[in-house]
Amino acid sequence: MIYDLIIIGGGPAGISAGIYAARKKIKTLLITKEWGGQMLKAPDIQNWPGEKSISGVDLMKKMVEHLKKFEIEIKENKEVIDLEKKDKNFSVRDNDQQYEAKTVIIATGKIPRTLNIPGEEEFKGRGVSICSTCDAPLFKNKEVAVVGGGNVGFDTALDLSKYAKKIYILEFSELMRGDPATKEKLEKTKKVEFHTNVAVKEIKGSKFVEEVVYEDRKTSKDHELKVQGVFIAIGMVAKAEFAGDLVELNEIGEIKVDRNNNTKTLGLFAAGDITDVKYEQIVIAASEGAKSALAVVDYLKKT
Amino acid sequence: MKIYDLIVIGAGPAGITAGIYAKNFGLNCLIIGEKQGGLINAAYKVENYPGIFNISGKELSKKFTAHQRYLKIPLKKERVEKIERGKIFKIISDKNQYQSRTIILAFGTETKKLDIENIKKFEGKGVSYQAGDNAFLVKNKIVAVVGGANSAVMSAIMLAEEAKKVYLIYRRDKLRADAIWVNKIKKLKNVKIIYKANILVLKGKNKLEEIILDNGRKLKIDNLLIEVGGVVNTFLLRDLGLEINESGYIRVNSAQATNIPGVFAAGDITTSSNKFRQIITAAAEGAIAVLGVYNYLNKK
Repeated sequence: MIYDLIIIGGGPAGISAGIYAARKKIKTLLITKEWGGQMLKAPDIQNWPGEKSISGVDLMKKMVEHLKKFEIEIKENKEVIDLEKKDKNFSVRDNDQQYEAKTVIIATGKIPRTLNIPGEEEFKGRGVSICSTCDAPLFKNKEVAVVGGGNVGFDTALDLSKYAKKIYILEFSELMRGDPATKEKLEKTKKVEFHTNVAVKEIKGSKFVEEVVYEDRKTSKDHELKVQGVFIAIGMVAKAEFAGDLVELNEIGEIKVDRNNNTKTLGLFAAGDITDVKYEQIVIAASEGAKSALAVVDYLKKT
Repeated sequence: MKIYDLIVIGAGPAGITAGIYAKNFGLNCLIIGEKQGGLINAAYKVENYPGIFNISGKELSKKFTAHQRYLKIPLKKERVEKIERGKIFKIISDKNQYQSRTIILAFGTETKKLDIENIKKFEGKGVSYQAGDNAFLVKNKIVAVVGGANSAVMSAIMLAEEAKKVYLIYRRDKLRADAIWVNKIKKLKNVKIIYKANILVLKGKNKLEEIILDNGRKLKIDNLLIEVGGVVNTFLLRDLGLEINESGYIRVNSAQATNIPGVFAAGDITTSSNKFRQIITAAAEGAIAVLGVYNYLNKK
């Protein structure tokens, strides 16, 4: 069996592509590890046109429900690990099966960047978090470290300041990178301590996080902070390794596409945050998904 | 006179989304648009706006309006008649004058008006101007499509997959669409092409039931799809010196910027989004245009 289209990813770009493809009645398979992607982290979205105020989780549910009204095959909880082009068609392999398709849309979005230090993986869900909007209330009257002094780190600290007793922001470079206006707000809470020029080395604990170890990059000396939580806020990263040479990446790992969602390989399209389209917004990702599915329909007609 | 950061001209999906994003960015913004919701009002059903399976164009339009009101985004129901270039743009409507540092043009297209009796009465009640991907809403129904170019013929082919019968009505004696589509449609048994004909009158009680052609024929139908193409109201654009293509659509770059600094454009009126012209693409372009405006204002 050869699909007309395989969509990889279940965020707004992938779901919207699926809706458009299914309505055009092309034989489509959508493979995703999870639904919703980054929008799950948003507690209150006010810029999805037509919805005054909605949580990311609810918007995701509405989109998935919409998608499932149509005739489309879906594989959930599956991660694509390999994509190849064989003659005219594409071969897509997930951790379970192999599929064949005439066209592919990559819409896997971005995932949070990791520190790759001891303890990070081990204490995930036991003090280590990447989502302050999800987990901040768990740290009421506790001391926490936020790794990353950019806007993501500042926003994380701001979320935490409503609950936590003390917040350490640990920034690798010489200066805090986030907006001065947000920094001012943080200073006003009198709960935040800013540390620059630090390299976080290890997260320690027994059952839960108990301390974070960092090196002062000026003195090369190690320091320890007693904390119950570590929030990693060093941004997002695009992971498109599974596509190998079929796509060209920019310097930060995003897939290069033209304005019509074409990658460098004929029949292979990409949409949403995984691409080098600058704006990471739900409405824009959904639009990119729609555009790419319609481009697929045009492509199939021509070939 | 008050000087706005941004004036958005047009209140369809592109314009309203631009307003929402302008609010997000804390810009002092005004939307001026005669018709809230724009062309989506004329869509019988919308099934491809992500998150909503099935909604009438009018209902979706109401949702956009509710969102705009909820965020208290100022909107004037006025018709813009003139835009004057300068360090600050001057926008003259049928009722007022405004000043703004930047402009987003998002007033979309209008469907070419066909001189058919009762056509207004049946808009959204059997008459649709939406591109023909409403295929499964016509299951077992009798449909007529007006037009003979690619969009009309492709729509007729698509509708024929579900409809009981499709009439393609064209004023000339030969279809204008690409040969591949013409060959395809001629093979379809449930499509009847009627050449050299125009629709004169629409009839029906609460919804469209019958059409009368200028050759005297009467056809019982359930739905009528007008696919004669959109037109851009270009008179505002020419004076500004905007770059437009041969059909009158505004050329924009990937940030929705036009050739004039400070003037951006979004939605059906532009050449962007691969010219697919969907509600979701229009909305996204409105958002991108505001990001462009924001960067432009910050650089100044």
